[in-house]
Amino acid sequence: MDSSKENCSSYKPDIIINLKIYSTESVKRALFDFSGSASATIEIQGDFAKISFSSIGAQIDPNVFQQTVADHQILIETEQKYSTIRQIIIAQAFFPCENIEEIVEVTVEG
Amino acid sequence: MKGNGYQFLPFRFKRLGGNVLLVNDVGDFYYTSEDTFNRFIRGELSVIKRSFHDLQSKFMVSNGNIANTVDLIATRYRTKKKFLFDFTALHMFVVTHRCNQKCAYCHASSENEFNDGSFDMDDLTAQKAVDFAFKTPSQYIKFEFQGGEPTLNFKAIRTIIEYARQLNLKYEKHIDFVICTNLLAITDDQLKYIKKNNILVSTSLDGPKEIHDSCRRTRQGGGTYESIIRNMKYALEFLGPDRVSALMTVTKHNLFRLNEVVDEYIEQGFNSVFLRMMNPYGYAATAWNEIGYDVDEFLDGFGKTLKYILQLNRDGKSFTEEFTALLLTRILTPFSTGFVDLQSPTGAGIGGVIYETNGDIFVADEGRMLSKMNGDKTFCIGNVQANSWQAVFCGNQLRKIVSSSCIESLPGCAWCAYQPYCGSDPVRNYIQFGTFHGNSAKSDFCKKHKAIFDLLFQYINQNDQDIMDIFWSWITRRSKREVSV
Repeated sequence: MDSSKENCSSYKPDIIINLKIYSTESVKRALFDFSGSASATIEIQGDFAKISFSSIGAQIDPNVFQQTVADHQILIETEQKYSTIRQIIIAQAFFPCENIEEIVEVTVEG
Repeated sequence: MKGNGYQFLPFRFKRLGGNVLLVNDVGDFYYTSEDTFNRFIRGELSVIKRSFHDLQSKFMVSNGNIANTVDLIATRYRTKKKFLFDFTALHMFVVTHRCNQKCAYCHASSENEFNDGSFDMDDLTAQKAVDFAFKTPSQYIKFEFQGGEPTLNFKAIRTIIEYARQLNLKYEKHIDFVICTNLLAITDDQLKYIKKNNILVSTSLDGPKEIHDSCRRTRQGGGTYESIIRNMKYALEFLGPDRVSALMTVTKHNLFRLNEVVDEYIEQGFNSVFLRMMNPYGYAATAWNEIGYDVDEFLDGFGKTLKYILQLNRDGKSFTEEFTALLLTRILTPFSTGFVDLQSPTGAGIGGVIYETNGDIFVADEGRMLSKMNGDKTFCIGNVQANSWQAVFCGNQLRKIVSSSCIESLPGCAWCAYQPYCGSDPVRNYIQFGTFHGNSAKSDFCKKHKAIFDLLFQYINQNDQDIMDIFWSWITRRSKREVSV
């Protein structure tokens, strides 16, 4: 990730994100988190996403934004590893099954 | 799927104070260093490390029998969502629109107290509403009388209670009755009836005289403090201290003097306060410039007052901030805490409903207010005289409201570490954003709750035994001495 200053009176950083490392989903989630204090455009250029903030109500710290993207990437990757388990937990909470070991074996461990 | 021989279980995380807070789907939490967190998510944390065992005990990871763990978490999840099984336990009755006060922040509509009965709930409507209430599958039901000022139509209250007692010979439910009254015009006969029928009294006290009278005034513009205090003392004495409670509303007049509000509550014999943020509805919206504030100001006041209350407790005075106690119960215990204003799915309609004087059924008082303000009946799900219970509670409108309020699937909430403790308010969302699901990134509701959770976790993570004893005393309703290890 990289950030650069635009040549204008107010500091509106463009942030470049490497999409080989971070998914567009994590970028979109981070943009949502920041949408209360800024609006932004996202431009995909090959393997990179260029984020341009505008209408900034509060100053966006590029480092904080980048950390947020990274955290969403972690969440997305870990979610992929337990998403089946989460679905089984909720199903088991409201419609308990006797053969939970078998279900887990087939859907998670299998 | 597995890293270093372990399987992740569902969790979310948040960076807080230089460390990382991990929270699983049932609210167990673990606070750890960034280094440990990084090793954990890379699958590099040694399974013989204490931190791994901690994470395992908090159901965030497993390296053994996953099926057993899944079954345990599912049981915990069911317990946390137990409020869903108490379908529509709270039934609020607007027995009149007439009121003898004209409070600056009122979000109910109020009519002159001397108006005729056209603003009152009649007997037939009252009985039909009770019929509806008894059809709820919940074995526990609470009837709450509101207004206007409900004591101005005490006849309807008597009708509802007597008819409910009659029906309950068949249904055998546990029923609680609560009357929300300003106590301004309460009579001896009414108090005797309240005592005889074991009705809880919930009144309002905004602070010392100057603060209370700044917003809570008679229709003629006079202060109400002295009358309220006199009647409240009498009610406390006559009914008993555990039968009378008071609520306060934070306005600009008391926001910067909340310590004085706490002192007033103690002075009047109460042992808790609920620091309730004012909603920008009804008269409050009109008078916002005079009595309103922004969420940052509220949070500043809330934090300072919580600190003040904690110091009172450290000094030996047992006193609880009720909203904190509610959130701590969610954070520190496995139990379900149904609080219709903050749960997922929403409590609107499935946790509580409100019956208008004409029998219209609204999912929440704020929804009723919206209808009064501009005729928008989005949150009206039927009428006790026109519709069946099935049509109202199994209807499309309630289904839409409830399904839009599951924060587990809302942007922002879905990945928020505080999700297991939080909830949604579709009425507020609708008023602010025009949709039931709203927008958490732009919502003061979200900002407020996130900041309060941050604050509570900062306290919890201090590992100050004295603070934790105070918190546990609030959760368990016992003295600090009783809960001290």
